[in-house]
Amino acid sequence: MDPIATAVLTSWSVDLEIVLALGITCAVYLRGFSQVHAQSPVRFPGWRRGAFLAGIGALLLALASPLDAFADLLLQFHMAQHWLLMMVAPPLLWLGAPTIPLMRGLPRRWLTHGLGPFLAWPALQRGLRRLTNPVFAWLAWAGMTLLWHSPTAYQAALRSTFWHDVEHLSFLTASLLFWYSILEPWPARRRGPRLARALSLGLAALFNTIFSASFAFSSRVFYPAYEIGPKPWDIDPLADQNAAGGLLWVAASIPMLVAAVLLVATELEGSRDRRRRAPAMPTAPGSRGRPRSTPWRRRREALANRFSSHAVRRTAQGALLVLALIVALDGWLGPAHPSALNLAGVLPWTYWRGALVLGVLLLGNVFCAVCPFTLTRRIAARCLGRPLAWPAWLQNRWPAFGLFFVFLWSYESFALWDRPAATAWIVVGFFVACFAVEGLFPRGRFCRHLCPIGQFQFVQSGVSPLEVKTLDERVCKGCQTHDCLRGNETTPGCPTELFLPAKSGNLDCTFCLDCVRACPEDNIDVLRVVPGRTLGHGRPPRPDRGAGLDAAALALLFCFGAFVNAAAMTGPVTSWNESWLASIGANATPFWLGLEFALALLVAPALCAWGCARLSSAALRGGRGGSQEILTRMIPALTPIGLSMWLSHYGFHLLTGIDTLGPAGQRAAAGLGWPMLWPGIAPSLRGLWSHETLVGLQITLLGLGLIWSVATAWRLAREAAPTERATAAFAAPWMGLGLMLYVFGVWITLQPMQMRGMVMG
Amino acid sequence: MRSRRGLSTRIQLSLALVLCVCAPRAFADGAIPAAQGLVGGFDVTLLYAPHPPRVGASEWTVVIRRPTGEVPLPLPPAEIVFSPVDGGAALPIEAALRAHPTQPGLLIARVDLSAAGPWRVQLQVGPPEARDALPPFVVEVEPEGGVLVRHWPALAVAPVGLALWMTRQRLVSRLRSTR
Repeated sequence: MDPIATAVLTSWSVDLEIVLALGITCAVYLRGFSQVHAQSPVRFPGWRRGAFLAGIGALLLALASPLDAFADLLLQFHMAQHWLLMMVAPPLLWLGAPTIPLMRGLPRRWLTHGLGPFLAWPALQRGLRRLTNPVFAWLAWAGMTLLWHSPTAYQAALRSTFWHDVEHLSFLTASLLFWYSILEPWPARRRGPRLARALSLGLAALFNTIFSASFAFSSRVFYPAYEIGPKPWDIDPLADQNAAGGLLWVAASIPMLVAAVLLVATELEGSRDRRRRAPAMPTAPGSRGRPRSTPWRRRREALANRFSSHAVRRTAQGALLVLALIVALDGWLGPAHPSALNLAGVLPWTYWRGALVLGVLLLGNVFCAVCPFTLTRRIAARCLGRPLAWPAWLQNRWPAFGLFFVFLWSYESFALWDRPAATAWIVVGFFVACFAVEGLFPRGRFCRHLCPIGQFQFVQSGVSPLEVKTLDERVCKGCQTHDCLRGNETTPGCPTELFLPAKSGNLDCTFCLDCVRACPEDNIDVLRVVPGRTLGHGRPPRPDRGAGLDAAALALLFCFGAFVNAAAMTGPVTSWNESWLASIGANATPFWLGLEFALALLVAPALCAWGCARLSSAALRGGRGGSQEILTRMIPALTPIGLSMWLSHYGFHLLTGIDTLGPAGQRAAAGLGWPMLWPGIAPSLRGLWSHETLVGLQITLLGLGLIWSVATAWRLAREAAPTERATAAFAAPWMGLGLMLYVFGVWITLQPMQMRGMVMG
Repeated sequence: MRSRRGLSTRIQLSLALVLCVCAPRAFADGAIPAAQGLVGGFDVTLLYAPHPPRVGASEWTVVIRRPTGEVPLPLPPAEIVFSPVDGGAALPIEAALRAHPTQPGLLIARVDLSAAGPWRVQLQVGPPEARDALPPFVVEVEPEGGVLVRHWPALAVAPVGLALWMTRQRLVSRLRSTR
């Protein structure tokens, strides 16, 4: 094949952001359309869905196909791109009547609590009415066409990606307005007779004819950029311009002509059309007729039931146990350098951490549910007999707090990601510690008081969408046995002593589902909840357990730990650290690093939180609530921004190192005499995203985390403050702290990173 | 009705099929051709990525074929010369092309372009004593965008989201007060 033709076919420049945005829009539309189509198939026939999807396809074709890559070289390609953006995608999207399906496709809570106030906003309604006024829409469409095709603006768009994006956005917006006024997709109000719209189309076609003809018959090149740039197929710039004009003339006229003919034809059938009774309006979401048991819901319930099966959980735990053994064996027996070729350097530090945080965000505490360390719990109890009681002074989270701090410090001090043998010992250490604690002390003490991974999961799963809950509180009121807590002959009760009727949120829940199996009434299940709604409303604090301050301190450590852990791998921080230590004549020894970590993870967060609590306390003039109460109430608000940093950091490692399992697995298999386990033909996933895309994704995550934290801080403050003004003053310090962390996180994201866990790391 | 529904399903299936077919291509190297011609007895095409090139790393690929369409083995030596059109803007760069590690018939060079503005590019093929060249052409190198320019959609998420949230709070309180 001609190399240029090959290049044309392979020059797709897909931005992950565009694919994600279009994909999410499609998913929301399809979800909503399935509902409204079931309720009103006449108003929402299947072809509308096809039209909407075709519109999305046209957008993808315009923005990601070779048209985009070649737009800077040939005017014809650029005009074809503009044609798709202005004349193909917008009418197809409006033919899909997307307003109601997109609204119905959103989670109900987002629609009522998020969009609802905006939809009821009179100023917004007025603004939208003006924007969709046919005259304004027509002028906007023609004005944008003229403006962006003027040589100055066009050349600027060719030179700058930013202005090119702005150009496309304004084309799409103006064309959406124009086609909205023409097609008036349901439930739009009619703004006049169809013939007026046909007239508007006729004027647009006339405009397009004059505009295109100026390109088609011009004897000089409008845009000098096409004269100095490379010329594929040796096409002369003037010939290219003339051809572009012809293309625009013919291609743009077709949709307008089709639309005009259809409008006139419909108007001619108008009287009959008006006599037809309008089909029933789709009901508002949740008001009535919402199917209680959708196929998706049934599938999810079936999955939950299957997962709650003891055998399935044991199988998953067994699989993770095998993986842990592989990590330990390869850590000891495999090569120490490069650690990226050792499974102990790859599986835990690249894959498992990323999966852990993603699992918390998308599902819940899934790691604890399949934790392999607790697999030997019963054997330990049999061997050691659980003779001891857990000391009263340790019935809190401070041991886990200390262990997590030690982990963060040792990770940097001893470069754990680069020491497979040390990683192997950590894995074995977890098994031994769990076996000993579960064998010597009452059930569940390791999870509840010691395990730093479990505590990390408990705190972060406050933002998870799933929760183990009771189905009907009335059933629990009549319950005398409390099997969910105490267990029964066949099934043990909750290992962390959660009493389900009093449980709120995911704090301390290991998702083991013992309570689900133990409940004789089948009144407990994994249910979907509003993520983050229970932040700050976990297990009620008990005075003998630190009044909840331990949980708040742990949440603060996890939040600041995310930023310190990520900052420690950036170039400026490592070089600043080296120069600082050199200036005081010290080396980067564990002692000095420990001192720095103590400052960054203990002193700084404590001072920040204390300062915020004082300010919040001052905001409540009556002095309601001491600093400790404010701390325990407000610190959970920082969980979302902390989780976004963990996700941003670990997601970065996961995506940049996603191909590392192949070489490491191949090396390990070769050591066992299976050299062809990974034949090297597996497609490279790493090429799916560029570094710039990842940075954009990380900043987006941090932004969403900040918004979530701010909203949570407001909600928690509103419960403590009497008035709106007091609420704002009470929450402001915590919002400010969240903002500070966001700025720090963005700075971290933009710094050069050590490529840990990769061959060059 | 049944046939219309069937048609709609078929259209959607076709669309999904097209997307599936395009998907592997979608993530291919987005190089675009810059020049093509007969040089030193070989049919060569020069491609580059990213497009438009920016200050910093860019990748230049040359497809070499005999006029008969065969891949010449060994591949002839080739060099690509970059010189700024505004002479003093930067020093000229000469980058030797190397055989692509996995794809036969491809030469590749990674070049760090040091300044924004127009650069004259010329591909030279053959040994130094008998070197032939494609006619030079000019590419416009974009400045390395600042953080705001490169990541403005991501950076806009927080302020736009917060502004929307604050507006929503205000609207909710107004609605409550009017009830």
